[in-house]
Amino acid sequence: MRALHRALDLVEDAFAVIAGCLLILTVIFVPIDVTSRYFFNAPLTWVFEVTEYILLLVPCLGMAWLARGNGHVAIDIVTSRLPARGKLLFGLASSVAVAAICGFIAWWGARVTFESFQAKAIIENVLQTPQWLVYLWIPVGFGLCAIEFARKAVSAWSGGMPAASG
Amino acid sequence: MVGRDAGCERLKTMEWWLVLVIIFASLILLLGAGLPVAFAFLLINIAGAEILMGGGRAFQQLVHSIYGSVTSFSLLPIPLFVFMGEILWQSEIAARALRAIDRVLGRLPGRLSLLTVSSGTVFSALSGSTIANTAMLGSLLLPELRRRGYAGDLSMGAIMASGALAMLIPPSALAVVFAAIAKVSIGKVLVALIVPGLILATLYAVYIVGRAVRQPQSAPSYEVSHVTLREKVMGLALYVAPLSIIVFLVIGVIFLGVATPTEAAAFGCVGSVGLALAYRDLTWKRFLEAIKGTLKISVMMLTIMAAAIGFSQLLAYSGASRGLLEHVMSFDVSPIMLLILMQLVLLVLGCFMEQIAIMLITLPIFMPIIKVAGIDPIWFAVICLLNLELALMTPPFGLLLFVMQGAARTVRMQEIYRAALPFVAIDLIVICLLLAFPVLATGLSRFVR
Repeated sequence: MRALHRALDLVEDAFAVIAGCLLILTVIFVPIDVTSRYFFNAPLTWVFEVTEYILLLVPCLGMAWLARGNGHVAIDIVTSRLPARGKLLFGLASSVAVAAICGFIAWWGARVTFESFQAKAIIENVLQTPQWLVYLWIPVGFGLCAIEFARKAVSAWSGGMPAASG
Repeated sequence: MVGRDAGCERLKTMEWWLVLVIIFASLILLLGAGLPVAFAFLLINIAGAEILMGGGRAFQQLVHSIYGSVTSFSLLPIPLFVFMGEILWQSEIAARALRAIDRVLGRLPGRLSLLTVSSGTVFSALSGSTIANTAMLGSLLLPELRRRGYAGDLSMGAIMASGALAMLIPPSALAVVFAAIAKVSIGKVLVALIVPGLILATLYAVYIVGRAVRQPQSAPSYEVSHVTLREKVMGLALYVAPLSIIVFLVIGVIFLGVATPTEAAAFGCVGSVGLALAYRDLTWKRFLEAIKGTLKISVMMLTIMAAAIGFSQLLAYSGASRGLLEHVMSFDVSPIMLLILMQLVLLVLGCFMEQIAIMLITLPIFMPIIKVAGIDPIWFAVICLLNLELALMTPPFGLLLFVMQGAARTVRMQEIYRAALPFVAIDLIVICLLLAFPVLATGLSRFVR
């Protein structure tokens, strides 16, 4: 069981590191693109497109990692005033619900990705990127996030202590 | 399937207002139950796709809407503006600039509070994150303000108000979110926010001086060691003037039409990192901390944004947006009354809800009304953003009140509420000013190419 927790932490951390690197890439390449367009009249045409994919990848890759640290903003006007037991119950219900929501989106995301793969759909832009390659991160991200919230639900159920995380 | 289709037909013909009430009631219920904002919206989108659009293809449409909501080049400033704030927070740039400004201010009434407002304004022009800005001002100035016996509003109030300016004075991540959801020019909104932001800062300063003069015990004066003119100028030249490079990289290039707001944001990041490196205070550890902080806020914001298109599609498909629009227009209210009514809605929501959630809920409904009523969308955006900035400080749940409580520790929440009130009042005055004189908001943005 502990190995499973560790494996999940590891995947989440690795995804977060990739998301961080992708953000840095945008900081490096967007100015290079602008500079080379203005001064050398040689734009890096792929930058615009890749940046847009990165904006999908960042939340998808970081979603589960953020959830582990309770970083998704929630409104706790009501729940913070509940007694401990009520807090636990609401926390449990909320984790179960979010796990289901993410699982649902992961499932439909996977279907859309698969259909796109079969249809060999292309995103009509400079790079002619296969659509499934970008869409794939929706089921992956939401799927991982579903697992993370399932873990939260299990740990709330079995004693209220949050699972070990690093 | 027959039964289900019949059900769909029935739901489709349901009164638009009933659909609207159901959508909003369930959203408020979910948010109140503590469901994270992003997933509450996604759940409403899923439920709407099933009930109103009959599931199946509608769920596929939902996946496409998640893709469409975030894959927009114009959203990149969100993480980049936050990154600028994090770099400022992790490096010593802010502390040094603050010391330089400190030396320049002579023996003014309410000196330390004025230092708070002036440095807060400068930092706002370098940072797009209100939390980072407030926490930074709190850690740099609160101990000194307390040691000198400043009153609550002149210490904590001034810190919260100046910290909140980061949401208005560009770079501003939330302004980008607003412009993206409202589908108005991001560059124009950013530029249009400069003047109102500066008016706010000026009025804060006026209030501080007025209060310190009338009640000297609220801001006890103290001996300031003499600083020569040369030292003053050197301090400003070394530690404040270079910051204008970053301001130019962000606002200047948008203004001149050299780059889009996204490109400007990227230049701003390069400028911030470059400056931190030039001052030799960016270690690997701090750089990584800055990226981690950026990632947290950006993932949080972008995950909420992922539900944006789906939610506005739902409101459109159900006929709710259109129904409300026709209904409102049938009343023949004057545009200014409409504007005031909408601001009241935002004001109330702002007391309880988080900014992006408020934008997602209200803008798909407000923007069509604004369009039909012939109200300038930039003017509207500026007033709304001021209102949402105010929401950061309005009791009982303004975000910065809690940031302040985290920084001040021993202070009771009531005292923090009271400290914020004068500045809440000033914000309301400025909102009224903007309603009366639209040119304050739109004047500068007209020059954006």
